[in-house]
Amino acid sequence: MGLITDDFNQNGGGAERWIAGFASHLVRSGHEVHVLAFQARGAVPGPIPHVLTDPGTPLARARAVEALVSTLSPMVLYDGGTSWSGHVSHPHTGSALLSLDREIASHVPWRRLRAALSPRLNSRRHEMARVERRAAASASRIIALSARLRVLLSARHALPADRLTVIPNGVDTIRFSPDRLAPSRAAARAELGAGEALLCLMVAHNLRLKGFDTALRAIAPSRRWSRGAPTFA
Amino acid sequence: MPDRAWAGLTAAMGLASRVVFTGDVPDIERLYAAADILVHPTRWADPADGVDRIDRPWLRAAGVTDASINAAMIGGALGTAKDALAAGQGSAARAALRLLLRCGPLHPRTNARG
Repeated sequence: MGLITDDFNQNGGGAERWIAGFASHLVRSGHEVHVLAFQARGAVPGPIPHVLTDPGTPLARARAVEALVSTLSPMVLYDGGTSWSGHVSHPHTGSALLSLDREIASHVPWRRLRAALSPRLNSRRHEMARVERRAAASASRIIALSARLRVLLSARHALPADRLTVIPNGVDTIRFSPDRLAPSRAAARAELGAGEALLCLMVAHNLRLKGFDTALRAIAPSRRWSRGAPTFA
Repeated sequence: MPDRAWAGLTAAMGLASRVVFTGDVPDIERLYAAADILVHPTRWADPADGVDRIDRPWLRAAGVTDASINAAMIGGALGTAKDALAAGQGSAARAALRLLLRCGPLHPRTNARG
């Protein structure tokens, strides 16, 4: 089996960790696993890495993967949202193009205008749309992370229901069990210098899409806090 | 936007001493252990499938009880934040967040009562 991803990294963000975990699972299940990536970091034992030089654009990356696939033995290919070469397409960022458009729409008018007029950004959007369209056309099975994404992909690419499946990402309830984590609470708070203050946690890679600016503005008038201003990590 | 730019915004708002940018954290569960509240004012979640399909599992994982989540939803705070963000109404979302953080059912003292 071949796993296609931008960054093979067991210590990366949610998508990277998911694919690294998937690779480990496949190896443990007895598969020969190849990883086709533009970066490979961390030590995930078992998969055979094929690290490509990153050409820097979505379209060139997809073409580079296609060229590499043509040199390898036939295998089932899983794509995490990098190219159009996967038999199974599982875009971990949902629609990267839609995310970009959503992020642009969240900015003030002059920044939206600048984005609309940017040749570089428009070229990137065009390439993202092209890769997404071709991936949707060629994959035997497409996995959407949410019902919303299924509706969006289905409408945008006229996909039949039998090619589109919704599989939400799971949560490791053992790893995050409150009972298991409780003993490390005091030490973890001390490391962050939280003291007795309310400690708010945000987990994000794309801080703009996750609304970090909204959270900052929510806590900005800290003089009014009766229990002391909250700490954010 | 890289963390440096966000750090600049944080400093400009007078919050530099109150915000910790951790970068990539391999054992992120330690942060969940330390936190009182998980804040997730995303611009991406859909009110129609966001809370139950995405937020509820994470809130549960962070140790927030179902009763608290339900109370917050009934109170409208989570829904208000999501609706406002979906409509690009940042001020309404911030008001909802303030409500949650200051006196909402996700406040740890309220949550402790379940």
